[in-house]
Amino acid sequence: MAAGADDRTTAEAVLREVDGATPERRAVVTEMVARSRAALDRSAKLRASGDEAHARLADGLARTWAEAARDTLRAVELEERANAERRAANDAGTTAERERALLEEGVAQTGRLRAQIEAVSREGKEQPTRTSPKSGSDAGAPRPAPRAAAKDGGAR
Amino acid sequence: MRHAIVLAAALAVGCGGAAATGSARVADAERMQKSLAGKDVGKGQAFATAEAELRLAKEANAQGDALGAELHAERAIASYNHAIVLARLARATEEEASAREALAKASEQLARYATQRRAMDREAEDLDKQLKIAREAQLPAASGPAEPERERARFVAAQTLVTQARLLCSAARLVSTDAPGLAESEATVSDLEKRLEGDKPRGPVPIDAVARARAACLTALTKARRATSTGADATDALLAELSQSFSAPPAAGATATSAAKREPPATARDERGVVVTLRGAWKGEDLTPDAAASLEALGRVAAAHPTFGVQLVLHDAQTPSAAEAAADKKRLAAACAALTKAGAAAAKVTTLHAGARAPLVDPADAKRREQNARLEVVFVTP
Repeated sequence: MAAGADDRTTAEAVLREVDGATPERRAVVTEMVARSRAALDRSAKLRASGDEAHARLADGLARTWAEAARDTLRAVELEERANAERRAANDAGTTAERERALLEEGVAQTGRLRAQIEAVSREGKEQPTRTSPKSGSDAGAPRPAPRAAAKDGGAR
Repeated sequence: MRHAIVLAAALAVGCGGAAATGSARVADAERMQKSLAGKDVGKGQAFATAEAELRLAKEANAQGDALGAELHAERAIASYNHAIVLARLARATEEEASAREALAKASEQLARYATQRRAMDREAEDLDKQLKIAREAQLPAASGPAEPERERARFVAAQTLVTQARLLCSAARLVSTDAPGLAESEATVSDLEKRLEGDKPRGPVPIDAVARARAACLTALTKARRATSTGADATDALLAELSQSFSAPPAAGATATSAAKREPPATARDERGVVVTLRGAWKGEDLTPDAAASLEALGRVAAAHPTFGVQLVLHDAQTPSAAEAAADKKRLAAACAALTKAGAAAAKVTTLHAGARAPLVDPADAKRREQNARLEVVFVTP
């Protein structure tokens, strides 16, 4: 008697837990829940007719279907979570690769800057300070091919 | 899908009364038991329960308890289903743990790289500052106050430098109006030109500032060229064409005497490009026939090399009066008209009046200062 009552109480409690799930998830276990409720109804009828032994069997059946429904929901939830975590891991991996590329670029940039600092320091030690602002630079203009100097014949 | 199949089997209830229903249910449970043989669901409590229920169902059936057989058989089917679900739950638990571990690992790696990159960025910033300081340290020491005579010399030098800066910035603008730093450099040059107006210093001469302004204009010209450079070939081709233009027969309007004496104008190169210098180009405010012929030839060269901008720079022998400056403007306009009439694109020609701020000899030297008077036609190398 006690075991049957326990099974019924447990089945009802588990079904309440399942009912608390989102409609999308509940749809996955509709059939199991229906079978559990059907077993509970059958148990009630058997008990009402005085067939306690079979009523307890029906309570046990209701509990098994209810627990199967609950564990299905747990599995679905875990599968969804695993998928989300897998996607997040992929995203983080992509971002990490980008950070690594930026890091390598940063390493190269600091290397270039160090070389420039060294070159400027060396230049400062090797060359005297300029005293004339006149520049010998051609401002990036392309160098001409060698040619004879032009005559200053246009003057009058 | 798996559950749907199992449940479909479980729902296949016969309609031949309680005894038939009990036997049918036992058969359903046995079919399900066989379908799970060899699958990874047979080690748990739920599967053991299913097996026990199936046994009880068979016993009840044998004892004629049809209802008991049906209920035990249906519980066996429910327990087999539960065993399948628990196996799925175990797999999902493992997958979730594995995904969580992968996420933690990727997040940790991301955090490590991000931290290292931030540190590297800070280091690069520091090094950049160090480089600027090192470069600053290489600049000549600032010029301090000087004797009045020295200040006057500085004033003349500053006027020349600021004029050179103006010519360089103007050349940069002909190459690219978007050259980095050009607008700022031009603003600085304009400010310095105002400070250096007149013929004697008004306060300390900004000699260091004009040197920096000239360097800034030269940098702007270099940067303008980086984006548009056409290479050495274009300049060589232009020089060859200049040489060819002035070896051609004289213009039809030139006199026999002037034609006989006519020689090609002086050609040189500086930071801006190719500089052609015309002397004695004016009679009053008008071009001489020779100068007009030269400008016509130069205009044709400009038309043949549209990537080159052209600077027309008029220099005076000595500091011009207001009236002379006005006349110089008309002379520049006439020179510009001659160039564009010969085919030079008006948008690529600019005129500048340098006065006597960029002399070749001392403008106070009455004997030699005439050398300062000249018209420069500068083909600005792109």
